[in-house]
Amino acid sequence: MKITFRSVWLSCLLLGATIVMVASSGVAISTAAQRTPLVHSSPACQLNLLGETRSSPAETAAWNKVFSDFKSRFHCSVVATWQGQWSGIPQLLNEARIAHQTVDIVADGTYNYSLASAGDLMDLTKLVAPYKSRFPAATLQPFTVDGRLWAVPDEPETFSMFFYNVTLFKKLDLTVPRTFAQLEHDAQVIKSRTNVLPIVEGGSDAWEWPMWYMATFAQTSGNKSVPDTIAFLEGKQQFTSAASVQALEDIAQFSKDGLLTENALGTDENGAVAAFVKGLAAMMFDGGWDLPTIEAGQPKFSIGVFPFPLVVSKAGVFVQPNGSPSEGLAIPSSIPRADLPMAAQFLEFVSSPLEANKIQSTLDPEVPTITGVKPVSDPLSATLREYLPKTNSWLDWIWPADVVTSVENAIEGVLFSHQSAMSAAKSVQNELQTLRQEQNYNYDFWATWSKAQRSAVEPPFIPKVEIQK
Amino acid sequence: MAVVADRVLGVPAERVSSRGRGSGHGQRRRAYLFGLALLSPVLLLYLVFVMYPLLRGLIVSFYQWDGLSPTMTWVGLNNYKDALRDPVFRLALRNTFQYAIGVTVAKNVLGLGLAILLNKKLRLRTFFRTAGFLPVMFSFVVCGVLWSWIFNPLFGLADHFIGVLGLHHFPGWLSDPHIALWSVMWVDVWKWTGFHMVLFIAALQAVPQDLYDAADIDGAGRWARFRYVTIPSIRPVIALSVLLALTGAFVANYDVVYVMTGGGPMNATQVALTYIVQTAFTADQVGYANAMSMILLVLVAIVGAVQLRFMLRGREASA
Repeated sequence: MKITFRSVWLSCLLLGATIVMVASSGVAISTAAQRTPLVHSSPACQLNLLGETRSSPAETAAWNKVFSDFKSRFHCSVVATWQGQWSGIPQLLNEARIAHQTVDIVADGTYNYSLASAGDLMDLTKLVAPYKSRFPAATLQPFTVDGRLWAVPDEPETFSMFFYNVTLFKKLDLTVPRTFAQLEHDAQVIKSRTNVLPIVEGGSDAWEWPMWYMATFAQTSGNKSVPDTIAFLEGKQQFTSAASVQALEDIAQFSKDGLLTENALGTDENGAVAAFVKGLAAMMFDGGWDLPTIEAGQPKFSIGVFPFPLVVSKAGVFVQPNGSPSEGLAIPSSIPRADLPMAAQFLEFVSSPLEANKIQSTLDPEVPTITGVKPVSDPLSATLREYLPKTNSWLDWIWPADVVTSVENAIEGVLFSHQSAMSAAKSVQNELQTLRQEQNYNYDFWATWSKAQRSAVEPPFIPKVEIQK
Repeated sequence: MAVVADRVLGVPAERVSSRGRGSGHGQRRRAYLFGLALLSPVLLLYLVFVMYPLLRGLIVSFYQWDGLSPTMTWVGLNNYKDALRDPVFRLALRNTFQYAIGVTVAKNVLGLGLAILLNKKLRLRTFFRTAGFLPVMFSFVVCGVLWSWIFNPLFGLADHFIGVLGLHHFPGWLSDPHIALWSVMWVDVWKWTGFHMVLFIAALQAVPQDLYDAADIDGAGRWARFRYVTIPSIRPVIALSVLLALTGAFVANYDVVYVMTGGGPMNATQVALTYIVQTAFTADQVGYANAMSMILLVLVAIVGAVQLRFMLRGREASA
């Protein structure tokens, strides 16, 4: 091929055109990102909702019905992205932000505190004030930090609990365990007389393990686990406290006595539920959110529930389940300001008794989170409602994400003899220390925030919302 | 540019310039510009989508930043110091290297073995070739979920199979910290061996029969034929296959680890990418995550450079 001056010029022209094309598309992308808020102020109103995959087709259908009703009433459509597990929500939210994708409402739970303290959520206190009375005070507590509300519950209360095979227990003439000794006895009987696993746990989903610590720490701390945890996060207490180390040792006892094996780390939550439903395991420690899935599996036995047994024999110490609404709805601080009125209206609409009932009724609400929503009435309901007054908030709702991971690893290590309880506790303490030193972590984030940081999460105006009956 | 022309095109730079009208500096310059113009669209994409994010990542790695705040706090080399002190990151790096080297060796050895076997005239050869290649078509997420259930200790096929063999010691495929990473690596090997097998089959089919005939006359046995005829003949494909396996293993291990174990138990399967993503998007420490990415980049670049040097030397020797 001949290389002529003309061909060089042509090539340069091509190069120039390419640069202009790419540059202009870049400008277009950037302009689109900057203009995002304006898109939603157009007549074609649309809200974007992000949340974890719904638990059943019935729940998805109920949400779709609510969206449809909202559109009929307020002429604004809601596009929901139901994706993955709840543990992936912070990542999805951050990815959406980086990609300049609008998220107007986010369904979160465990990471509510983490998201709020990172400045990712909008302070809802004033937005929700006109209809706050709909929510029983206890249901708002997990979403409240420093008196500020960061989300409103949209799902029923659920607690940690043991599910058990009532039919098998009756056949083996076993009593429902109230103490660790009774649980151990039942487990030994099950092991010696059947091929059934005494307890199954979906431990490859690492978030399952902190529930064990919360249950034992509630007792070893003398039923002060929440204030003690806050004291730990504020630096006033150590994770290596006697109560905390004892809580880890009490968990370790489950594997030392053969109630749990390392196989628990090879099964995820779905696998554990499947094993329980198939009758391969007699008991399963998990959350109430699994109840609809277990029932949908149509097990060939009756299901019963009991709280985590008493592991401490000190007078006055009682069993405390951990629990909260399974999920809440929050508004990201990055919401386009033009979308705020409609997003605020949506929160009001979805938490009105009529609409909330549509959603919560698909989740077998033993303990609804909105006044006016009908609870189910089955044999389990009465037992579950007994737990409510003694229920503690989930501790992993207030631990920072790094500490949650560290606690998960610590429990796995202690449970299966890879490290001592004290060494595991030290690793958690060190993690918090590192977080403080390297990332300036502070539990009371609001007090340390600058005025600019605060105003970034406060609604710039309080839109008027129409209150549904 | 001359070096690039030499290495990439395999044509000496002087020869490129001597083809043009006349000779001299101007001509060479025009040839250079023309080459540059031809490369420019790709270069531009490379600059925008690789170099810019890389540079941006490097800058961010010197800051403390949650990824969203408008302000970033300058921390200098602190993120790097913290990363090098972080025991989980060090473990994740070790796992990454174990993963990359392990799967590279296994995929190539198994791929070559299968290729040699399926290069013979066997019954159902096409079926076996197709079956061997089939996992390549699955996404890592599908493979991960599939094998998680196969490895499930309660109702998984793996333990069932061991039971059928009359053995009663079931390894904790995904629960034993000493085994879990090997189990995850196996899934990568299972998925990609078929791809390497196809590469090797193509290479084996191109080896001239004359060479084997000559080796037979020289009295070479099976091993000698393999060692002195097959291997030297397919060396360029082996180099390519190893390069593809190694680079793939370093940068494409996130999905399978995330789906199968999430990095657990006790970080036993944590690789650098899962830890970096977790740090950036769950713990909101984007600056720190970028510092870890830069450290990983340097280490992978060193491995890549060593391998490239090794390959070029091999090529020079064979030339």
